[in-house]
Amino acid sequence: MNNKLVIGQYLPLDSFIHRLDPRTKLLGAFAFVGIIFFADSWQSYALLSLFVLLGMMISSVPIRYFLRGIRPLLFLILFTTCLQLLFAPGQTILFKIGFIKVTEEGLIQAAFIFIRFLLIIFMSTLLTLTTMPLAIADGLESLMRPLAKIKVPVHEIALILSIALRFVPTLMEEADKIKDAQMARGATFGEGKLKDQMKAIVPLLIPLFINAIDRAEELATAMTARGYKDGQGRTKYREISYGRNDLYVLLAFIGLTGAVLWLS
Amino acid sequence: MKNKKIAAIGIFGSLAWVISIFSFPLIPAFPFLKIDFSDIILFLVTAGYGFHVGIIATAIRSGLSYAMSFGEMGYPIGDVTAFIASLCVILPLAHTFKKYPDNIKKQHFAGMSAIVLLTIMMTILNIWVVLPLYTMILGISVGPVLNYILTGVIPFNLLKGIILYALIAMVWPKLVKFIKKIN
Repeated sequence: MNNKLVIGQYLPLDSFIHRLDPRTKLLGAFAFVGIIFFADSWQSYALLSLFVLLGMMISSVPIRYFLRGIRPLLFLILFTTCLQLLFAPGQTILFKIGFIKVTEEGLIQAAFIFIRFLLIIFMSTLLTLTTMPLAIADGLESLMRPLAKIKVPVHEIALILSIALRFVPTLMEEADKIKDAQMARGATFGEGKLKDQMKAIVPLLIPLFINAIDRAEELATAMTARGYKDGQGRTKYREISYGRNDLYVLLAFIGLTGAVLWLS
Repeated sequence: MKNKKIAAIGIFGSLAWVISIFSFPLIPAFPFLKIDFSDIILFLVTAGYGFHVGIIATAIRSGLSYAMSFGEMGYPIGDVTAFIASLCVILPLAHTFKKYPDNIKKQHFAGMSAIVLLTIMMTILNIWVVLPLYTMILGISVGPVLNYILTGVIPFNLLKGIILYALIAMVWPKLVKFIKKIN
């Protein structure tokens, strides 16, 4: 179950990418998602691939961690690529078996979509492998700060996100424990008729919910006892700051955007 | 916002996401239309802590799901759709169950309304928003739209609504005393 948790896959190494400000990495990842939609030629895709590969190399994270990120999306990737291959409109027929025909245009489209998928997965995996979840929450808070002017409770949102991230592993473990406890009492999960499967889920949900009520209560009491009262004027335990390297990376992204637009 | 609400949103948003991992398809022909039971937890939260907490906790669940999968090519199409679908089920049910905790007739009526609302909303969203976006971003289409809606979206959402409501009706009597104690 834990290998689904991409965000929990943070690898505590020390590299150029690890040391970047989380805001830089967040902005970079989102900019990349935007940029890639302008790419429509071999040259632009080659450039983007080179950029991502370079990022992967200087992150000093072993390649297998990136490949692991593909696994949960493998079905979607293959499905999309095959559809492109078979149904994209095109004139130049390469070969034909029965009603299935593969055109040159379809093949190129399929290859582009495939590369696009891989690059976006690698880019987002690069972000989560090199940035602690809490650093991501801090970065988001800082990026959202302008919204506080229009009365968006930015600090509260960031705190809620940190609480949610903090409790994911705890609650997963608890769900596992309750599942085991019910199985020890003879319950079966994921087997039998739909109706039986539904009934099996009830004794799982009820204890999870009741325990969570207690947990929330305790946490709220702990917060109040420590004097937490809305986010105004609080200092931070973890500080984030821009450095010279962040500037270089942002410039590299601006350069990349320009180059992709020029090549397309 | 009070500390109690902040803590509840964080913990229940997290719990809802953990539960949403265990999702499974209902119709074999459409393996990407999946159901999970996080809506039940979110319904209980909304009934217990109020709409504010329920809606934000739902957003946290969808946000976590987006952060884990990075959406479709970086765009949160499926996660936003799931957020709206959850609200369609949770809000009418939480409203009625909170107001009439023991009136089974009114609860059944709310259940049916929620199922119909969910199905209509998802049909509309799929035709005018989700499918065009999928075609734009992934460059794929699921074949003839009407066919997909009639054999996929409508039966899936009806079935999903029925299952969720049946489970909610099963869980509610066991938990109503805990929920009344929250406030």
